[in-house]
Amino acid sequence: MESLLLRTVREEVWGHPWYWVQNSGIYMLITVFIPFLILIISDSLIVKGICALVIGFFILVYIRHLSTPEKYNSTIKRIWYTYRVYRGKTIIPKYSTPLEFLKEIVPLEAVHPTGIIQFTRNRYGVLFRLYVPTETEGGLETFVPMVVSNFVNRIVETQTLKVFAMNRYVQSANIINEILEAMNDSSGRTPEQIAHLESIYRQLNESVKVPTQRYIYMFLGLGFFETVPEAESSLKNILPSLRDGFAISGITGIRVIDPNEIALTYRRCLK
Amino acid sequence: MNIISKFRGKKTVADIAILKERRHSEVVRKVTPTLIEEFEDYLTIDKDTFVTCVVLGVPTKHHNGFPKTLPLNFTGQIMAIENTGEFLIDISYKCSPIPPAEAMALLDNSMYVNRVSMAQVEKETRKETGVSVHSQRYDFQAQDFTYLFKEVYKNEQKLFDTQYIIVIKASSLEGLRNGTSSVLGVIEANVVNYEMPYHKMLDTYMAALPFPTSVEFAEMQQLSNSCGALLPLNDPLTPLADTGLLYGLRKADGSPYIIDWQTLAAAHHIIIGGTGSGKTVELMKLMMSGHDILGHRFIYITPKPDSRTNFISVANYYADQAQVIQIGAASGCQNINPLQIMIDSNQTMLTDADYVTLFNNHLELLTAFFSVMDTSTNMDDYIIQSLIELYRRHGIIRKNVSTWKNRAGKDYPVLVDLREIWKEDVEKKNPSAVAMLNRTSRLETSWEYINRPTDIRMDKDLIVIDLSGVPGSLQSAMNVFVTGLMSLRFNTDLTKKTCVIIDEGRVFLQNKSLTEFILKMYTQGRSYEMSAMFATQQVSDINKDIQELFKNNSFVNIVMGNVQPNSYKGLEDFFSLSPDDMRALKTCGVGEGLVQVRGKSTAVSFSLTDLEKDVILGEWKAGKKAFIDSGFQLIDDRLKSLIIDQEGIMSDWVEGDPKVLGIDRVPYNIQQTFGRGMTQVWVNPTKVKDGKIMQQTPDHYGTVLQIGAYLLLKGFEVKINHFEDADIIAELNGHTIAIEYERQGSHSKKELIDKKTKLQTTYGKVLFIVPSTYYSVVADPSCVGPENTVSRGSALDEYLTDLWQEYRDLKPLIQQSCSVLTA
Repeated sequence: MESLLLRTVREEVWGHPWYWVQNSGIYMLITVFIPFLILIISDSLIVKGICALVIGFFILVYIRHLSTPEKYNSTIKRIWYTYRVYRGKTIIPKYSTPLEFLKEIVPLEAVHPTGIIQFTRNRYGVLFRLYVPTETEGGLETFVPMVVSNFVNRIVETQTLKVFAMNRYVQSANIINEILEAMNDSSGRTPEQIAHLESIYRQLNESVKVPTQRYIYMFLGLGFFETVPEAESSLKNILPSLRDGFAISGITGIRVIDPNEIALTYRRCLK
Repeated sequence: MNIISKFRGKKTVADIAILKERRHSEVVRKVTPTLIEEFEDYLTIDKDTFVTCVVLGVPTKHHNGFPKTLPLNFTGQIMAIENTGEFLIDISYKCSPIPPAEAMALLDNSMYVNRVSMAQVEKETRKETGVSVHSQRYDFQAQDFTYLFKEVYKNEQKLFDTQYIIVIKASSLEGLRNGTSSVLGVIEANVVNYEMPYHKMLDTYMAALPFPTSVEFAEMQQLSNSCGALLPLNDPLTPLADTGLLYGLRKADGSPYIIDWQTLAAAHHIIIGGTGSGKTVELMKLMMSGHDILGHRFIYITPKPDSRTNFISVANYYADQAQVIQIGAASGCQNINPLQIMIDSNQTMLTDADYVTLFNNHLELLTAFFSVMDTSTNMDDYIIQSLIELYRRHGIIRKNVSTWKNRAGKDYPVLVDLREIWKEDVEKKNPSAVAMLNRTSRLETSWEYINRPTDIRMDKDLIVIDLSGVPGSLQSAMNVFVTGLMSLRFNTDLTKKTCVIIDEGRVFLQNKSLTEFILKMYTQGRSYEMSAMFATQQVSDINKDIQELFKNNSFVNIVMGNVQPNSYKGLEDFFSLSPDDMRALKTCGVGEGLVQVRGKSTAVSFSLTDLEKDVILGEWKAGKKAFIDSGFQLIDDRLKSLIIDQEGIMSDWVEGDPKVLGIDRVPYNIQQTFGRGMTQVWVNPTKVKDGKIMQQTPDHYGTVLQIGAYLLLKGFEVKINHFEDADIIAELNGHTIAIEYERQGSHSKKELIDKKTKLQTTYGKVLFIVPSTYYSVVADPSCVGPENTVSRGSALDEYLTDLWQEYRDLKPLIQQSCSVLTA
């Protein structure tokens, strides 16, 4: 199974990434070379001392934080994070955060009645709830090629496919509710039956501590469009092909259309 | 005017903008959690959910992203991690196709960069050391680029920008650590490269969600096949049915293992389990649950006597709903006269045509009964003829339904009468009659008991038929007959679904006719809303030539645990078990097993509830009251005995909302005994008469109940009386105290003194509990005295706590006596 970095590939210098060699050089130039020049030029012992300390300090910083590409990447991320903390951008209270900034985090613009979701920068997409098979004839060896040919390869260049599988707690397992209802429907049941149901209820309550349910959603990013009808038209082109793909792969895909349901789905995904 | 219209126009534009803004803001604000906080290595959402992310598969200089031989079920392995109450795992995989031309350009560029970098390193090392060092890394990368280029160029596969992120959520930081550890365990076991995106958690989290966003550091490029394998589109865990019949708990995660019979083509089962594997116990459990949850009717037929597993006890538990039929010659056993046509008295909707069908089916069944005695086709025809003749002689005319519809059992002919007809025909030189007469000679000796009228009832919902008392020579025929009779009996009543359970089925399969009969039940039962469970010890009990038929018509297969190694092969072949299934089976012990539905096997623990244990293992005592709590949780299970005995419950004994008590109880407001304010006592309305609960005022009843519970939870043995003796008699370490609750005006001073004397004589220590307003009267030395009186509230709490400490620290009374004797 291959995974490669093609978009960020750069020539290496002495086996190291070019960006690291370049930026380390700039760092050295500014923090070491310039104070070193001053140290040589200056006649004052105090200035020389300060320059020596500065050079020592920056060399230490280099060794500790920038001496390898990994350390360099981590340091850059930390600096940006600290900057965001300083700007208060790591705390997002949704009611007091300006809308524009909130949309930078959650890029939702609008949900249209036809189920088309509009994102920032004129991006559009749709959501599907998937019910996937557990056991397929021939196992994964036959299932995966089926998914590839009927699903993955059907996505066209401008589109994006994102599948999000999540588990969420549910209030109570249905079987527990069912047994409770049966217990309460005492008209058709004898005390012995109700006592038995009660013992099952207890057993389930002890064993099923926190019931969870699996939700699998597929997001289909349609691409960039000027208007909603254009996005809808693009969707119409791919829907029949997708439906066929679902059917052949044994996957049930139900499009989430109701705007409230879409909002609820995103809320469920977010928390 | 112009200015006004311009202003109006601008206002409209502004209004539209506001509306648009509101609509947009509504969605994003509606969806976003109230508060998101980003920390270096995790996020918090609404301060109660902790979130962290793991980025997978991005290659680095030193590692490939995914190993070449990554198993196809890698994503499945992540999905199979048990989502406990501690943490939840989300998986996000994104792929976006790269146009082929762009893909090839990217690959060309990468190949060029690769060559340049390789040459550069070689040149530098040659300059430094005089020898050029050639890194294999560049060769492997070059091979990958070439392979990708070939696939894209030949249109075999597409190239995608992909992103694989796992999100872990928990309600605490510890849960988050545990979740992360579980996920990383699987990732590392598969040698997949990963990165925790420290300082970029929020961006990564948002990129994982179903938005058209991604983060650059999580992006990589993969071919179609890799995308297909990594997409979470195959769930390794069977989503358990959440409604249906409970079989037990899934061993993997303790989830309830439920099968919805309605989703099966037919609810036929095959159960294989050796002696002592818990097979019969599981059958009993299924029978009880199927009866109580699904409301189905069950008939349990067994040729083995009731021994360790008390199936008779199960029937006894259900009292009037169940019947045990012990067929046999021994005294106390019942009988079924095969010639009696059984009609369910509960059924009133049958037409004459239905009755005639019933008669015809019964004739067929009788033929099957005799067929066990190796009858030929001619003999079968002869049997039907002679049966019709016999019925005719007794005034039973098939098509004249009134001649037999309401006929009493004793008025039906018996098998000896049939032999009389055969004897007559023998004289007419009928060879079939001769054969039948010879084959049934024991009807006048060891089988004679079968000539008694039918004395069983079949209108029950749980019928246990014990055939162990039937003589061996007649057992096969009786097996056919009883099984068939039960099927026929319930075929006619489609309002309730019926399940016939055959235990120790090996005995049934020893006879060809009986085997065919059971197969018929499997293949045709569905049409009659019938299902069958066939249990036997080993696969080899089922003849090879019928194994396929059995297997194809059984939709739930259960292999009990504790399997002997020499049975592995047979089970593996018969149920087509995979190596994983076999491994799971080998870990199953007694009371556990593999349940196979639609080819998918799951290891299940058939754990019994406390009540099922009592009932199935025969420890249920007749008359023992059932504790019914309508689905609430007690603060302490020790209170259960008090609730059963007193048929009342205080609202503060229940976890959560006490309103659930109202399902079958009525509330009475009373004062708290140990604190201030009011509380409620909930009692069974049948125990209330003229405003009194068990002849006590609600206040008296509730106060005594509260004191009783207090002492019970302190470890006292408590007895509560409502009619005579002291209200409460409590004992700890052999030391007893009698407690009376008195209200003003309930007794005179003299009566109180008499009561105190009487109780002191019997129990030694007496305590009178009174409302504070009545304390001065009762505590007066001329009455009961202050040492025997305490007012309710905090004083009572202190008194009982001191008393408990005193009794707890005292030696048990029996030890004290011994010490005295020793001294």
